[in-house]
Amino acid sequence: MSNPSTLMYQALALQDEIDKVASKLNSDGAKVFGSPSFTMPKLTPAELGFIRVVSWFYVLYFEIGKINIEFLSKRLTVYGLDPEGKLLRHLRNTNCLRSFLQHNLDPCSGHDSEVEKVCDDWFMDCCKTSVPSDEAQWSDCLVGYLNECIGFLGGIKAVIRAIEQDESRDQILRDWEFRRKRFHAPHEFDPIIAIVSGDVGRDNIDVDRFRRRHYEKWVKELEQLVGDYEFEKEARKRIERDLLVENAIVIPVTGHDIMQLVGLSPGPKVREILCLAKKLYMQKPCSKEVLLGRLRNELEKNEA
Amino acid sequence: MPDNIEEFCLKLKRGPAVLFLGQDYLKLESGIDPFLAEILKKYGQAEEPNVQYGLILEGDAKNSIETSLAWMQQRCDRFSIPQWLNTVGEFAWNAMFCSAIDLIWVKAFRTDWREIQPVFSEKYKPQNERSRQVLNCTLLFGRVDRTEELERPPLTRLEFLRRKQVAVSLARRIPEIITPLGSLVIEGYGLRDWFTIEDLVPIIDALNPGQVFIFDATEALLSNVFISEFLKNGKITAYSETLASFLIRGEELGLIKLGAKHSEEVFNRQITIGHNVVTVPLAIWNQVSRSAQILNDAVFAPSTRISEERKYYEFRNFLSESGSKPVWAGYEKGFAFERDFEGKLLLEVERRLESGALQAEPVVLHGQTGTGKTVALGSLAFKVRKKRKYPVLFIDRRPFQPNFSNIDAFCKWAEDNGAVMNLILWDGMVGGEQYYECLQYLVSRGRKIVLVGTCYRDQKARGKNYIEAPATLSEKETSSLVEFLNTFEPTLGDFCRSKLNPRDGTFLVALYRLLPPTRSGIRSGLLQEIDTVQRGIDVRAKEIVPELRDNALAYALWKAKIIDDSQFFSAELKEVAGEAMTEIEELIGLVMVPGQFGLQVPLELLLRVLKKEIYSNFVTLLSGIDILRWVEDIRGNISLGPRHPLEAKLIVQARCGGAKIESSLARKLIGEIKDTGSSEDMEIQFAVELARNMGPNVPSSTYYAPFFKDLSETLTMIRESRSIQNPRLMLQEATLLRESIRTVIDFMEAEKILSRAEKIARDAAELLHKDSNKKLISAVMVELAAILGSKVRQNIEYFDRVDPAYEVFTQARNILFRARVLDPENFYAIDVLSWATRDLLKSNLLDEKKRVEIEADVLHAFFTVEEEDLSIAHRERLEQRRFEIAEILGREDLTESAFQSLRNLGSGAGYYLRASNMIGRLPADRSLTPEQVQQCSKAFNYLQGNRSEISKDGRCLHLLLRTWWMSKTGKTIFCGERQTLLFSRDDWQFCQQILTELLMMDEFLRFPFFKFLYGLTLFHLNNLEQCFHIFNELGRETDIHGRRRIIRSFLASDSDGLPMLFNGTVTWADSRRNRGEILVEELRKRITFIPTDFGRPEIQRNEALNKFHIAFNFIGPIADPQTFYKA
Repeated sequence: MSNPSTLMYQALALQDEIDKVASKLNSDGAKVFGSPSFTMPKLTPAELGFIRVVSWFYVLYFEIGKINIEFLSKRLTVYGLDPEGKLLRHLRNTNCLRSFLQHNLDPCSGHDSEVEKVCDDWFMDCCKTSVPSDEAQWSDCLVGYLNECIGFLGGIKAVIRAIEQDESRDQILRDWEFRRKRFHAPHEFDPIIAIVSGDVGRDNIDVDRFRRRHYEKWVKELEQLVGDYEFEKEARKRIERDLLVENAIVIPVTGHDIMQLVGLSPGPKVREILCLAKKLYMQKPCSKEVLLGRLRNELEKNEA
Repeated sequence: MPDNIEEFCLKLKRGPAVLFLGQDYLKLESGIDPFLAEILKKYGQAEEPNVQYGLILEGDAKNSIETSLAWMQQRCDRFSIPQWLNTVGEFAWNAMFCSAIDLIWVKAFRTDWREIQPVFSEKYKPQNERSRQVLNCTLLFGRVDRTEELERPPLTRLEFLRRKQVAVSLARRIPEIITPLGSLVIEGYGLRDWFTIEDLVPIIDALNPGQVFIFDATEALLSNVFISEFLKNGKITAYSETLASFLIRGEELGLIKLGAKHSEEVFNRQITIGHNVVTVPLAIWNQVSRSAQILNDAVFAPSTRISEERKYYEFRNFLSESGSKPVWAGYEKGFAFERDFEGKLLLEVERRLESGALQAEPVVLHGQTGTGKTVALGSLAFKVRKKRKYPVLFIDRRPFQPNFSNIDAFCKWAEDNGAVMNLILWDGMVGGEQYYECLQYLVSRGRKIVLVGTCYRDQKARGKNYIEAPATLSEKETSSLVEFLNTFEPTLGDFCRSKLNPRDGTFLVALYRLLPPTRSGIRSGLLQEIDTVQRGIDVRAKEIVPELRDNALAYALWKAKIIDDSQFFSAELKEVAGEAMTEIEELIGLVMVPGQFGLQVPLELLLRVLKKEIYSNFVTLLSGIDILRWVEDIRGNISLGPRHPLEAKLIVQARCGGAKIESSLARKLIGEIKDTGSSEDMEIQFAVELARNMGPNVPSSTYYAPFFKDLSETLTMIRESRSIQNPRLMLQEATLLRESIRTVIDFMEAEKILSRAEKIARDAAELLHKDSNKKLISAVMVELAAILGSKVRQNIEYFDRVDPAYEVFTQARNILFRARVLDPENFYAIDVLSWATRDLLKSNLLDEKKRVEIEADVLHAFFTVEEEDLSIAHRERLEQRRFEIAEILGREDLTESAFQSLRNLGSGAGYYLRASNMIGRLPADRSLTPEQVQQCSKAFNYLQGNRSEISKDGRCLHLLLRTWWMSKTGKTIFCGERQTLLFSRDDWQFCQQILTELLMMDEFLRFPFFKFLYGLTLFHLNNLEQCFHIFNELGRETDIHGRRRIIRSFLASDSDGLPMLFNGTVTWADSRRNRGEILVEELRKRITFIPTDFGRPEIQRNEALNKFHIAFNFIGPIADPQTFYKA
């Protein structure tokens, strides 16, 4: 059996090599992983070593190298480097193992039970039990996982080499660069949030919490934009929008009151009248009864 | 983001939503189309400043077509899918048209819940052109992965011109797919697209304002003269944003669902069977979905918390919709009111499911319309599935019969995945025979299923398998209903109690109409108002619809101004069957007439009937009429129907004013149908069902009888003038025509009509000459025989023409025997033979020889009926026919002179009649009394004594075999399971001899069971090679239905009549499928075995299996544990 330290060293060497080749290939010198700031995992005892290694590679694949790994791993099959899909499965395994080891899974959730099943199968393959318990079993898992990592990183290296030789290399590299440019890490939003909150007089806003609440949505929206866009401008638009929504006041009437008032069934019309109620309230704040009266008048006026 | 995102998303969600993806789509994201850039770099023209697809035609790609295309295909893998396109691909589109030629987009649209069906040519028209699960992608200019000229992109100018014609023709399908309800969404389209503005404009022009949306619209595009005109008149709405940004926003606002979330709720294929959670493979899911709904685990996903208002709103919606199709979410929320009969139904179904046994009879829930059968069936499905033990399929009412092989595929898959039994609920409202047919088909394939069907109230229904849904609520039910309604709003129950007339069979359907639309309306006294109004309008209501005055639903419809002659309808009148009708009245009539039979009208058909004038206003019209519902089925077909058949019936009664107008509206619909040539053509199926429901074989047949001929003539018109030659329609046409003579007084006229009907039936049979649908061929042949039978009657009753009558009868008889060979379960063949024989015998005009001949035929026909496979109605009809024939036969004896002359003619009819007189009536499938055995011996000795005289007569040989068998065993041939036979080698040889002679007879006498018995004799005479060959043949014959196919009827027996013991070694076993094969040492042959039969589900190859029996069914020999045998 190989030594986990040796395997880890091999994986790191591959990581370095990948970065080296990528930086030469990309006109802007971009690497796949860059220099991770997180510390090297300790490999003993095997159980903790395994947990640390899975987390370490999770960060490498899904955080530091996210956009590059996404781009390159899709080309594993294109270049015939992963005919059985084994290498791609390593990404899924890493994701599932990390969730399994660090989260409380809900057996009633379809997604969580799927994660559990992937992990059970993986452990069974590695150490002949789906519930490893002793040092030898965890050691098998650690070695098995590191071997998978080496295989995967080897595949990624081969993809970069294949791109290098591809007659459409320039277009592929342009495509790759384009994907990198359009990826915005969470921290890129933080200074813009700080600026916007200052501009609107909300200096005390918790930037980190605010970004965490909206990051996923912003990224998804930016992905849909076409052509070149100014990140700062587009990000600011979205931050301002969400800052305004969170700023919205609570009005004294509810959808329930409106359904009672107008005799409406639930549906888009209720939302429409709620918006009207909000508008009326903003014009002149008042009590619930007064607002309902004003709302009734307004609706009658509109009907007439 | 524009404000109208809500409206746009609503339109998309409603569908049909069609995406047009232009050639510029790859350029949108980065401004460079990498695919095109690489092609131009490789094949020249890269230096051109105006990069466009047209330059490919000038390059060198044409010099080596296959190589160029392969290279282009390879490029598609190299480049990423634009991120926005992934979002667009997450929406469940109804169809897609694409002018791009690459493959990159395919990856965004092929998902785990959707398949892609490319359409390249005009010759191919998809069956389900709006399916959201099998997305039809029309490739206007082909695709680079194809090499055929008709499918690949053009590479020269000339090819381009040729392909352009095809592209334009394919694009013309867009308005038809979209209908006035849908939307065309254009993305990635630019002025240099191969599909030019001039090509696109006529397509857009054929649509209504507000139906076309263009995204990423450039200034250049918007300034085009046609586009700007369309923008002005509202035909096009253009946006500079991407479609994806709209979709994302729509999803965030909760207006639409995309991708995985969509698939979780709509297309989730996971079902729990016992302790296993399994995913139905996409192919099986899609296959079964064409015929039935699989109840997946999502059906009983916990419901989200909702407000009381929303709960009331959903409850009312449940009342509105669940009468025609289950609304599963409503069952989870407790919206279904449980009637008393449901408990009985659940008990019976659970008992059968728990038994794990093959079922002989379906459970039939019968009752008049509006008694809660559909809701009860949905509730049953829900309760059974919720226990997660048995898979459940639900088949709702649809114009075409479900494909049994699709159901079989699912059940087989479920059994392979651990299901002990499957539950199939078929809300077909069809005759009981169809459920028997379905059950027989599935059981004959070894499927362990419980089938529950629905039908109209059957007064003759009796037995445990018929459960009635009473029309009126019992006292107990009334109280329960009040309590139930009080859970939604405390005053609701009291209101209903005051209104409820337990004798009113329409109450459950009327409930929706009686409840105010909002919960707040209940409190503000709206219910009270209804009460007051009802008293006030009572007199007037009686005037308008006198026959409906005590009917809650009629009142509710009147209140909703649906059956009132109110201002709702426009003043512009049209003439329908001599009556003046407004356009909207006509629209309602066209939907309600089929709707009262539970049929929904295909949208395209309705639009064709209504013509263009109503087309542009269609959506507005629909939104104003609460009695119509439009639905999109799993295949994307859109149809219109009533909220409930009972409502439709009342509306038809109140507004159409008689069978004449109803028939006229039906003819209008049938007159406009189109035939796409597909076996599942929706319009053809609709027309067949409409004609059938207004024809002679339904309870209301007398009502429409005066118009049978008119309906038939419409079918003739579409066949002759529009070349719609569909055998199923022709069958209806012939039947309607034949039955129309009942109202014809002139004999000569009647004869002409019958001759026309005969020609139609013969033409239909001719059309089916090479068809594999033996059941349909058989049905057409029976109809032909029935027409001939009617001719026999005409000849005798009105013309006293005996010889022609006999000649026609002989033709009919031959046709019927052939029909029965094609479909041994076709009971109507026996029925027609029986009444035709009865008519002929009754006339007393036949000479004795002919009389005896036809008597022998009819008795032989009765003798061959497998009664256990007949529905109760058919069993009763068979009894009645037997009685009629027995009565006639009882009047006359066979004289010696007639017997002799038959004998001299070489006919065995005399022998047959005498032998059958000796045995009388024997039981179908059980042991005989000693007296009966004696009678059989006597008959056998008589026939055997005259063996040389009867050797050419199949009827006699058949009787010889049966009487020999019964006298030897004391039982009928097929009697229960695992019979052992006390036969000596001589006996087996004797039996084989008769069977050999029978199998050499005319084909009409060869029933599969002769072959089966022949195989059995071969086994016992040690001719194993031939024996296994015979059983292989039998196993492949898929037309054999009925339980008998898989019941282990016999065990291999020794000469002492004891089961023989065998030993063997497993040669393969599949524990998941619970199947295996065993090499039998004594035979040196492999036979099938079922591991769980032996309590060894995990048995493996090379393991021994000792001391077992060999049983026989129609599929072949099978290893049978000793414990299964009861001496």
